[in-house]
Amino acid sequence: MSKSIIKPIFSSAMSQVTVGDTLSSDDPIAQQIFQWLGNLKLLHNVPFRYLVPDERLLPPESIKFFHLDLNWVNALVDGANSIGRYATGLDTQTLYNKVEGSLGQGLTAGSTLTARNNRPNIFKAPAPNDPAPFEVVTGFLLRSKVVKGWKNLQVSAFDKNNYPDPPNREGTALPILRFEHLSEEVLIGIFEGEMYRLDIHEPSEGLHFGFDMAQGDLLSKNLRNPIDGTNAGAGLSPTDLNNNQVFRNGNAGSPTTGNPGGQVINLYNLSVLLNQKLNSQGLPPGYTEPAASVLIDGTSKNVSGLSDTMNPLVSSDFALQMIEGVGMVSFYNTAPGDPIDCTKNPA
Amino acid sequence: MAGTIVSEKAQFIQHHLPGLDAGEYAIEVQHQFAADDDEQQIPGGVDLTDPLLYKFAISGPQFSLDPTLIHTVFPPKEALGEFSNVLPHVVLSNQTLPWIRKPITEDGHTTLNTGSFPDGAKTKNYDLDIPSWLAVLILTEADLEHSTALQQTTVQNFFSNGNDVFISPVFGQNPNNQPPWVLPSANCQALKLPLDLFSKLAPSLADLFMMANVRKVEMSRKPAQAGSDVDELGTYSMVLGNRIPVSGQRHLAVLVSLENMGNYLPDHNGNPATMPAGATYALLPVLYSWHFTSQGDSYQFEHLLECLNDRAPNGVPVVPGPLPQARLRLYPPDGSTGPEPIEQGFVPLKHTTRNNVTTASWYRGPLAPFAFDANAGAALKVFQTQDGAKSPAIFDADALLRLDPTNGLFDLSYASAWQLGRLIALQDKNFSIQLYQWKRSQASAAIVNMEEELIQETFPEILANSSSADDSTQKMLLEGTLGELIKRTERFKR
Repeated sequence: MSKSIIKPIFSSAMSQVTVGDTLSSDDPIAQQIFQWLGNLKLLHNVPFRYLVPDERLLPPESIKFFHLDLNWVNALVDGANSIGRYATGLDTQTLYNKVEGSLGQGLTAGSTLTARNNRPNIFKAPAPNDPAPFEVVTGFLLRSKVVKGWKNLQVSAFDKNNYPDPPNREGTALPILRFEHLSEEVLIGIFEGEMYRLDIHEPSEGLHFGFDMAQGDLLSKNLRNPIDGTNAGAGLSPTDLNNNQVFRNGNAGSPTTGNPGGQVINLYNLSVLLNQKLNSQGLPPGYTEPAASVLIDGTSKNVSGLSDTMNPLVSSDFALQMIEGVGMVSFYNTAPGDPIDCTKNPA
Repeated sequence: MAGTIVSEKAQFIQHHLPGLDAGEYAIEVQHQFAADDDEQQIPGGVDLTDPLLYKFAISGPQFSLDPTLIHTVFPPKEALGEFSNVLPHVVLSNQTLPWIRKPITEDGHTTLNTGSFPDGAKTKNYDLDIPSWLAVLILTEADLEHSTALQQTTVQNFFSNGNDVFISPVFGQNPNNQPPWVLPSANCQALKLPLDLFSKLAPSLADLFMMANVRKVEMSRKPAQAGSDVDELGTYSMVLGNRIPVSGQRHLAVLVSLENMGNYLPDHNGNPATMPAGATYALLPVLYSWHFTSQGDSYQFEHLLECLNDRAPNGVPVVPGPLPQARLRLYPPDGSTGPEPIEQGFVPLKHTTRNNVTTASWYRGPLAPFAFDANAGAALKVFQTQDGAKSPAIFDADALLRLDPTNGLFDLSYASAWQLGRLIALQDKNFSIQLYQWKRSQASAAIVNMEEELIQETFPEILANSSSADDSTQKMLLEGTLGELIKRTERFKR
């Protein structure tokens, strides 16, 4: 009689050994543990030699693509989680093993959730709060002078069915789980999902300003349509630049000749010229008042010698015209094996 | 996370003006009494208090700049590359810096003026630019032969040069009239240029109107250290240079202050202004400087990326095409396929076993060269236990050793991963203690839970039976409950 009472009671008590509550609760200790394991899941603190055991795998000036071996990561996390684990044999019915098993589950879910949230949290973006196990995680290792020279270079990874291509250039990038410098020349990027295309951009705040190269070392400048950023056709030819005193001191606008103080640009003249060209094609911005409207303290400071010309472009419009397109190279994972295609995007 | 829609856009903004320009200010406060009442004629009012004058100053970088305000420079510092068509620039992390001071000597403050233009039937307004007090000057080696290189000096020394040195009339015409917040002993850098070279290099006042702007960019696709804190939209101000680098030369780029220099800058065609009599040199405060070299060899971003993995290094331009050896695996130099483990990304490593036998074993890190089935490897399914009933079966790393029966070699990958995880956790004392204690507390909570339930459900039955049943039945019930409790608890303690 006694046994019949006790058995069902025990099984119902045992069924409550879960950490479901811990996940949703505000237990700060649990949150810290999840945070730590979440970082470990994305290979933080893992010595580089464990990631790349042989230098020949990642020689200088190379990029390598990988699939994250989730079994390896699970083994790593389980190793960390093994602290305080007693060897109690394989009897899965002991209370201790039930507790351990159910804690392990909770830790897996909690750390996966924080691994997903970590990067959005850095940027104060909405966090996905998704504890589901990782299915496919891919990434790349880049070892190059590019990493050193362009510290803030940007990446976007896309899966096969959703990448931006002309004409609409819209796609949904895979969530970035981790994107970090491992050393001065090595960068790691880890994404959730199967990466089909990887775009590496020049950092957009490092966009540079300058001219285009016409034939024979001469400089020219293409115009950009201020509405959609496309090439606006007829730009400034080397002759235009010369005739309008864009180059100071009679410099011919060739980058190869260097005389002291040479090759200085009269930005004002250049800006006026750009405004004229845009206006003649009926493109914005459209302000055409005479140059005398450069005002300081309400007094017009006449910038001498430019009667009959237009306003210069204001600094923001001028910057838009002078920007040289951001460099971008796309890598396509065309086949399951080698090689990977690489194209320079006509951005 | 559904991912981010890629609509990478950078915004350009004309300027971000500070609330108050840097400088000295005074507020005068006085309490006056006045009345409009006809019967009580108080002509001019009565001063109830003496005027009080409060002075304050808005300080801001003037002769030197905290280097952390320099976000980035282009061309990159010490870069070697083809920069002969670019205008070098400096990106500053302070949005208002280029406009906190003025390049013109006028008293008072520059007001923002608007212009307008017809747009169809409507009239559109726009802001006119405010000139920047900062400029980027580019000097070639040839220029540097004619000028003194950068000098380290102090603010005091900056103002005490001979009569042949022209300095900006920053503090009116009297350089000794320094405001109290300027520290004379503060270090600063200065560049001494012959006047004719200064007039050749310096931008005109008109140029300064378009040499600075503000840029807003999206940050979330850039590298970031874990745990750091970055705004999703970054706002930077930017100062542009006015000279294209000379091919084949090393250049010095300097961010200089042109505060109150407006009257001495060349006109927009580069004709020099009238300089003060007797001066042969101009001395400029340098807020930041860096070197780069422009040369024929392409250091351009795209070129470097396209040349990765030894692809067509001589092809000019590099033709986009297949990128060889793009997986994380060893590639036999002769281009042949290696043995199967090599193809799968394994690396043979020296392995000293427990009984001191040296052998070779396979290892592969977490970065596998091929699509991975997370459910492969039955031995590892324990980690994906979905039902709480399955216990963790790994008690030491050896449980994850795998033997390739075809060649008798071990695969150490997962064993070393497990051991590494354990070592990393132990290395972090805080974490390991925290984890251990948390587990104990969870286990104790589970036991308390179990006990309470057991007692709650059994005692009512015992009590209910107390009137009808005899003592021996009660005793049996009670013993059964307590016995099971002890048994279970002991099992746990084991």
